[in-house]
Amino acid sequence: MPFELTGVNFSYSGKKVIDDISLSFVPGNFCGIIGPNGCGKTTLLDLLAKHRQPTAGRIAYGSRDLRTYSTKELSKEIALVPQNFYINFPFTVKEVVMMGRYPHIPRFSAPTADDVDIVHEIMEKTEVSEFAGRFITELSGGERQRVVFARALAQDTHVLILDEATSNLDVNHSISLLNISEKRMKQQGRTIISVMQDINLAAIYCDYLVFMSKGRIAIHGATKDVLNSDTIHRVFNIDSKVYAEPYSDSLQLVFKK
Amino acid sequence: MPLQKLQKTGRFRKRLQQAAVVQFALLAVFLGAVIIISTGMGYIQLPPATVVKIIFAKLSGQSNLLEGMDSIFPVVVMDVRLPRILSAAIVGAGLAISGVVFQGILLNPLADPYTLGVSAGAAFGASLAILFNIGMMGSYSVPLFAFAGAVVTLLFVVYLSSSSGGLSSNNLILSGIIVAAILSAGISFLKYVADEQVAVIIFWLMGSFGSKTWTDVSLTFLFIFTGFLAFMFFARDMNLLSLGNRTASSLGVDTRKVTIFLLVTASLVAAICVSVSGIIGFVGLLVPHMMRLLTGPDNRRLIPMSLLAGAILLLIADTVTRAVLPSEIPIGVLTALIGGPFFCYIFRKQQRTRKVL
Repeated sequence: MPFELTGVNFSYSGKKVIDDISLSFVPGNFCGIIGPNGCGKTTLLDLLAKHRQPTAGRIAYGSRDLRTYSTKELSKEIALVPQNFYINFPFTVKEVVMMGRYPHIPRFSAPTADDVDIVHEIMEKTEVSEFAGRFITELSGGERQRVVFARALAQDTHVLILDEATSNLDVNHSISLLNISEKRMKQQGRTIISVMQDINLAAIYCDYLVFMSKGRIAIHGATKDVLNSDTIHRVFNIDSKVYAEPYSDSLQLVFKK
Repeated sequence: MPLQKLQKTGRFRKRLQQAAVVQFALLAVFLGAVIIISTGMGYIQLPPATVVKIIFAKLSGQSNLLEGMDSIFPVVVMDVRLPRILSAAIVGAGLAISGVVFQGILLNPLADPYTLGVSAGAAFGASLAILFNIGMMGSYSVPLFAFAGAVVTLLFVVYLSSSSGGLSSNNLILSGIIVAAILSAGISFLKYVADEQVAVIIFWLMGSFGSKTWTDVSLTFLFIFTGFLAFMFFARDMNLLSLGNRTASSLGVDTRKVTIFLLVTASLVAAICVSVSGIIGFVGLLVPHMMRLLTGPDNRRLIPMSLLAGAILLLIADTVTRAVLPSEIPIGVLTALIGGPFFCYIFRKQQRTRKVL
């Protein structure tokens, strides 16, 4: 289902973090959100996930206002891969991935055979099954991030929200996880909304880009239309060159010293 | 494969988890055995069989079973020892499960029922009641004041730490420490001006299960068991909370509501425990830790296991002060003297084998 934001504002202790944003996210799209640190990207994701409520404006998901969804209902629709992830308790990797199935399992029931199958399949695909039995507290930051990503995929939702989800992963696992997510998105008409720091990675995957600056939208549109050196200069205030790169079949960006 | 390695792969623990029901049953049987054996211990020694016979006779009302027995025995068992023993077990259980919840919500394996200043509040309330010799509610004045002190302290700590962004665990812990420090100074002052009652205050603060009645037992049980049911209802949500608020909320947990509900319930459970027995440290810290090593951090297993283990541990400690040591020492002192070093040992061992606690 599509997201429709109209005139959304969000203030945090008197400071406007999100300033009059109107946007829509269409299913079957990989949408990237790009902007400098502190421009409100993560807050925007929190608003979409209903972790925060807009101070003004309206967010509709499908035909209903987001506010009318219960947290429980939304957990079956929207999955989130957070940027920083700490856990103090020694759950096993498999237990953490299984937590992605909790929204689908009644409170006092055991996981069904289907739940177990989904968890195994996801762990296999994301290559975390090799440490399925280890404690999450013992993994490296990157390994832990892969587990958290797998947990969100196991949640099996229409919308996948990624908050710099691949920023501390090696290139091989970044690409593999994004490929898995993209494949599901294309085949099943799902939505991916991803905050990304790596503009070139975003250029390869995203159909649609939203550039943010100081809580506002600087420009948004299809990647081929909006990704150019003017936009980059406006948003990041640096000089760059954007060119069509045939190997990756995407626009790519280079800088100089 | 060496045990350490097996544990590390988690396979060892997985096998233990499959045996969760067995573990629970074993602990339950063990608790029953400890209750019966410790009831037989003390100035008048009774064999377990006699204890069982007396309890059975009283429960089923077949007083003919007691014929040929010294008539003091049933009194010792039913009126003197069992209320004390059951109080100790229930309070141990309560401290342990509230410890699990505090650790789970504050995302800090070192939190315990007292982290939020609950004990200091209770101690302050009790000291006030003792100092001013408040007797309007008879023998319940001191526990009631302790309970009120704990609740008021908790509310103040929550008020102090809440911001527009909700409750953060660091804020809660810091607020708890600040408030507890102020209250400790207050207690010192009360002791200073207390004069003759200072001994009563000090003894209460160190904890005791002496002179408990069946009314105490049933009231305490009612509260702690209700708390236990509430904790079990939210056990799965607590698992998700350990992933952080954002993630938990995206997995369907109303984080703010659940956090506050569990915090208040756990504090009430801890406050009840403190008001029954005075301050008994380390049970709420130690038991969840030991059980987590045994069953893993899944709260759906951890809470019931801690319930039983806490009961067993505090009951044994109370029996040691009551019936093993030549003279009774305050149980709070005993649990801290034994629990503290033991906790240091566990903590040190974990530091050597794991990156993160």
